[in-house]
Amino acid sequence: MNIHLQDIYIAERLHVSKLDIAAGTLTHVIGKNGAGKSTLLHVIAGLISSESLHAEMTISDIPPAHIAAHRCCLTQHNDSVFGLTVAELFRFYTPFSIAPESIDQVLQVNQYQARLLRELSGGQQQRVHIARCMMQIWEAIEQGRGVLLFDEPFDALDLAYQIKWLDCLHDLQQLGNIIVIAHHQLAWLNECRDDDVLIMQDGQVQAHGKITTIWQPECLTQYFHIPEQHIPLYLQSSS
Amino acid sequence: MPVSSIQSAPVFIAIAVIVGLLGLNVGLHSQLLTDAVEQHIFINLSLPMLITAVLVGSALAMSSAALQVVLNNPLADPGIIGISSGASLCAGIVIIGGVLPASELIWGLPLACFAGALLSSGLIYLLAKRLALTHSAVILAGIAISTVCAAALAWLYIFGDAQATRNLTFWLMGSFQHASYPILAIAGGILILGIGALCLQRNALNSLYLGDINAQLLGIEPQRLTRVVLVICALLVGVSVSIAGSIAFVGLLVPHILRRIFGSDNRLIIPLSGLVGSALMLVIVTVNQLLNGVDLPISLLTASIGGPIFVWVLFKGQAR
Repeated sequence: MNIHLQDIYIAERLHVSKLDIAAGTLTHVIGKNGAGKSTLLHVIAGLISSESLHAEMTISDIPPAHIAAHRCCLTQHNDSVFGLTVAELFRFYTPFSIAPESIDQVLQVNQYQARLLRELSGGQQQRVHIARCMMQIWEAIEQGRGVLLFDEPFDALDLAYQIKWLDCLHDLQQLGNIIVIAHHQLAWLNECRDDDVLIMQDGQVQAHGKITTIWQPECLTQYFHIPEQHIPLYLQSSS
Repeated sequence: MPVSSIQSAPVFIAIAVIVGLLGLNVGLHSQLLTDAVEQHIFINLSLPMLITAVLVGSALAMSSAALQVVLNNPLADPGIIGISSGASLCAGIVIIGGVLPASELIWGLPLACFAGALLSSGLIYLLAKRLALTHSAVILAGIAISTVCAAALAWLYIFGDAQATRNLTFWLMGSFQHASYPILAIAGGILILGIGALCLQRNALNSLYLGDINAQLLGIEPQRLTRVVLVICALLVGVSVSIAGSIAFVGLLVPHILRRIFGSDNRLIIPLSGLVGSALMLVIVTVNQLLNGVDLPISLLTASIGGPIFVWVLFKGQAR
């Protein structure tokens, strides 16, 4: 299983001539606001129809008809004007009505089952939505045949949950799942040196590969236009 | 998704209430078995009225329940998004304008209303499409079209004679008095098909709560689903207004109250809205029968009964 993108062009948003993401990898997609990170995730998720793309996006071994059982995607906006309980949300969007043990251990969401989603705090809601996404394709994930896409999942998540959840994702990565996370928590790049990084700028992929070989403090100047003297301390060491 | 997780008790209770109300209405004709005149009245006047009430109540409540989900607005109802305004305008033209002879009214009025409802929903759809068919676009277009229709209707009122405007007022507030078998044969058929078609979408509607993108991620085509539901609702509401006039509040009240009590699962809410809508209309028919001779407009009763219940539910219900 691998993701293959070829000649993706969406005017003023995304231009990717070729991109391959292999099975068993965890890729951090980073870049400035409006660099095309979300659009890239949407293309991989199959949300933008291939006719309008005039291009190729394939996840090998997975027929497009079965994609909903193999690919999940956490988007940035997940609000509802209706009063949904957490249990209802799980029932409507996943094959489960409560989170499987191994997800609940990490995200601790089952305690909110009877609560209304909108009454939870921002971080609690985010945990529920992350759990919901993973539950949508949980069967495929357990077989190592899942594609997990997350758009800014760390938002509102406290550090303890960030650590626990990333640990969990690294375990799932070992099973062969493909994990792609777009985010702005650049400190994680210094922690997860074995992961992949994909740097985007102006809708184009500027660099893609192992963090150890690509990521250095100079990237902040080059791709984020942060003057050298303004680079925060916690991002300065790369070893 | 496990169907067993749905509560079935409220469905059975609603069915029991409907059967009870139907029985009560039959019971009101005490000499049904012996008196030929009584039999004639029941079969030709009461029965079509009861059938119309059941179908129209169900159609209005169910289409509102579905519209609220596809338009992502818990306050949407056929009146608010303007489907019924075209029908009202056409009724005004027919009744006040006197364009049809009185003998043709029995067919002419429903047909004109239906044409009006289709025309206004078509206009709303075209207008909303120009605005990219987002949820708020449909509501905005609906408000725009109904404002235009309401204005035209107001002009008709000014120029109409006293008796005609009074007739129109009564029609606009809804009535089951015009129910008859020939009209039911056609309208009832469309309503039953539409109600069935809407029921088939109840599962897919659950995926729309978090917006189009999350539905798409589940393999649903949200734009297509929205279009299908809008067309079915336009038909259901169009036919309902045509045979029973414009009935206020039922559409807004029933699903809204049910969601507060039973949660948001459309697999329960859509069919249950239909049943409770039917039951409510039967209550109104029964009240009218009991009042013996005074035929109160439906909207007057729905608002009088539904309004206080709504206030009570808002006070008591958990904050949904």
